[in-house]
Amino acid sequence: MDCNKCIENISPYIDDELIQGEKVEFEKHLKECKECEKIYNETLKVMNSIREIEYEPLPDDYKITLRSKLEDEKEYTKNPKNYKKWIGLGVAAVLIFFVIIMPSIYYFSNDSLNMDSAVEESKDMDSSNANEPMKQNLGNYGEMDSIEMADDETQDRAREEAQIDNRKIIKNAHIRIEVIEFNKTLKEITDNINLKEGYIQNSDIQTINRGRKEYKEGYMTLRIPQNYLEEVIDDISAKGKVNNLSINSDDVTKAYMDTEARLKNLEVQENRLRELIVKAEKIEDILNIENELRRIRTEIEQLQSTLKNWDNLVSLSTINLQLIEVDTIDNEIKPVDDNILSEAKKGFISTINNIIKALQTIFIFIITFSPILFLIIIVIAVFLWWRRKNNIK
Amino acid sequence: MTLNERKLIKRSMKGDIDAFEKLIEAHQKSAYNIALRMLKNPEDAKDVSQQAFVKIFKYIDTFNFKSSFTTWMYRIIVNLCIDYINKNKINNTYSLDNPIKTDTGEINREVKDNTDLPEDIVEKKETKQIVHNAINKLDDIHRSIIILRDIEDFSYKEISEILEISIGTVKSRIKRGRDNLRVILKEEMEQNPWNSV
Repeated sequence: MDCNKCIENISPYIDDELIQGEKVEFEKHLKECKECEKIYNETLKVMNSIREIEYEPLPDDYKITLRSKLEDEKEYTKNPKNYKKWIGLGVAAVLIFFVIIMPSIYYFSNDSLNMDSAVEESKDMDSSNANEPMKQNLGNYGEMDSIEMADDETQDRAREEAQIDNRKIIKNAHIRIEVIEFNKTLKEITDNINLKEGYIQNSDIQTINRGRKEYKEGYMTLRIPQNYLEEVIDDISAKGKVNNLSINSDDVTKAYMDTEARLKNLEVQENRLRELIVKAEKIEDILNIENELRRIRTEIEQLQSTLKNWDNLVSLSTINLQLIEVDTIDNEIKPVDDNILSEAKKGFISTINNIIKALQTIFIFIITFSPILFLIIIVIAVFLWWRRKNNIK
Repeated sequence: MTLNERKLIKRSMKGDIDAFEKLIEAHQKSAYNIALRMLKNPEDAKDVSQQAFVKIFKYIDTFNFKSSFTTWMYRIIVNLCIDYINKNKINNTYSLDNPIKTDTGEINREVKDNTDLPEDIVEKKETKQIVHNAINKLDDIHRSIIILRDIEDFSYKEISEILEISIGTVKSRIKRGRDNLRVILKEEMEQNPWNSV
């Protein structure tokens, strides 16, 4: 070991950081080298004098002040850190929540509209199905035979009446009426009409959604013997609140008379031709007469049909009835709705359904937008971590 | 790491201040004195050492049980002292590489009046005083290493862990630190010839 290396090893030797081999070499050199020994001794003295330095005692209030500082630190870290973190997360959660809620409400309300109209359609089908049997009956009524049969009787009467007052008047009425008990009213009207020897020519009943409830509306064409018309109109009007009532009369007397006269003429002509044909000898003449006969017959039938039609319309007046179901009619004080409990229950159930639907939609939305949410959460997490790192200073 | 130490650390992690105080109790004096030697005045030493303990308490949950707790702890303390020094640079340093500052006022600043005391006590006090001054005259790097080695008795390995430097650097710094001290002490003695150190 040379002097340079020896000097380098002085401190490690003093501090006992030399390995055995180096130690031995060092001690050997030291014995031989006075210079190095001198430096060694001086260094040793320095070290010893430093070692003799005593510890200063702690100041009196050291422990107390340290304690209070520790407690301050504890309060600070346990609260604002989490507090801020939760505030940040809370704000983020609320924002995300709103981002989901708004579109889900939008979608949800669209869906519910679709749902409502679907209900409406199905109800329509139901009510039209219910009306089938009734329409069958009306169909029967519509057949010519029965009309003719009924018409025969009424025609006689009509002729009598026509002879009495000699007028052919077709009466039409339009009534629009609001009723509370639709079905009951409908039955009453129908019974009444049948009683008065009239019939229902047409009936169309629908269920409509107004607000949150369903209401029935009926559109009917009623045929009533003319002399009962006024009575029936009064009956119907009494069953509810009349929105609209109009009656109009068509006087077809002149046209009727003209047609009748023409018909008579044609019939006379026909008879004459029939007599002629018997007398005819030439084939040519016979053919001509037959042609003429055919033409006249056709016209006669047309006129007869027209007259019949008028007879029908005159003898049976027409009422176009609109029957509208409502909850209340204004000019009376209504008692408490008996259905209040079932209405409440219905409302409650529908709200529950809506909530379930909303939750489903929200769930779908979360899944749909989960990639975006994921990114947002990552950004927030990174931000919080970055802030935490900065706070560590 | 002793089992007890481990237990106290875990409790401190949960925020148990009593456990933490027990944990650092043995080290409070050392920490204070290191700070005192490095920062050279008691107020700063108290502030900084307490600051260091608070910081240790705050970040104790980052301790990973892999290194020694005392090493980790002293690292924080020493670093805080160094940071503090760098913030408020005290110009009273001496290094073999720097020109000597001859300022009579500064050299004598901590000397007490001792004309009434018996000679040997005076001598001892004088010696102590000289050594104090000498250490204070070292520059920060060497001073810290001398403090850790000769006052706190850390091994080279521990010092390398605390200061986060290689053992080679530790050796060279100790050598230079002691060499500097030798020179300073010689000067001091020349100025106080009645001392036989």
